[in-house]
Amino acid sequence: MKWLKNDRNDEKAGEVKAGRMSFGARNLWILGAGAIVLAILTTSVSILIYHNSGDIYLDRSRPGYLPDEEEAADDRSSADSSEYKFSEMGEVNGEVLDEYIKEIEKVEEEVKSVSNPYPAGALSDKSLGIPEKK
Amino acid sequence: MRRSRAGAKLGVAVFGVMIFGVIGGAVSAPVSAVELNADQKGAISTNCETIKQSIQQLTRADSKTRVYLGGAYENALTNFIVPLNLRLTKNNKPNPGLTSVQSKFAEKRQAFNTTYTKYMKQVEDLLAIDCKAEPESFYEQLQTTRASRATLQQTTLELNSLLHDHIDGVKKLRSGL
Repeated sequence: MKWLKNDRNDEKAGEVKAGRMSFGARNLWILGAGAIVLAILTTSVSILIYHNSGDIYLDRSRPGYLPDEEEAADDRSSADSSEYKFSEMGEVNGEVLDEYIKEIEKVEEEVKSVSNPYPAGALSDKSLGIPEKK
Repeated sequence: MRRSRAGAKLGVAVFGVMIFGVIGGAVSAPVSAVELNADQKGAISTNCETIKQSIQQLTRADSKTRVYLGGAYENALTNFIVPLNLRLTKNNKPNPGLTSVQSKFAEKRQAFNTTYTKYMKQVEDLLAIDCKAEPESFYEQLQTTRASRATLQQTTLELNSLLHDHIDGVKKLRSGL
């Protein structure tokens, strides 16, 4: 009769499993859903901060703003050559200042090479093909 | 029972106000201060995609300029201006003129970043407008974007001028030695 009792116990356990999720399975579902919700929330917040802080406009790794081949080659060549850095230690004499002036004038030349930065004409009505108001 | 009915009524009333507010905001047309003539409206509507493509190409070029100039300004400040003033101070020869230029330069460099970000945000808002349907709103935002771009240009010119002032100051210091 023992085998009959075991069968009846198994039937009851089966009924429990068929009608209702077990405690462990329910918790696993809750954990999974909670992890997904948390991931979506944190990702949304970080994207919002990235956009609102303005970093998105300074990021050149986004599509359409990646450096082109020429620019990448220039970056590599400038990285290879040692960038001059004036030391904050040491004496101040004529020789030191002569070298300083020579190096900083190179930087000034780089800046001047962009002769007309952000010209207004690029966004003018004429450039965009909008007729002028008569 | 009475409390739950009152609460339900209040909830429905608040929800109704919210819905009307959203619909009202969506339906009401934006008031534009710009008046365009028929030719201008037609040109903007017809060439909408071409205009937007031109603006997108321009912003890519502007981004390259920003990287180039921003790098040069950062190099000038970090590797030249600041270390020189520190060395002068350590040698008991502080130069108020050069120190003043340093603080102005640092301030303007920060303004350059802020102005550039503001300008790019304006461009983003501009490109989000449907110029076929709303040419006047588009043109109004275009004018706002132009103003931001002009401010950005002015900032770069001021930075270039400050850099030149710094070099002049160093040359004067050299001649005094």
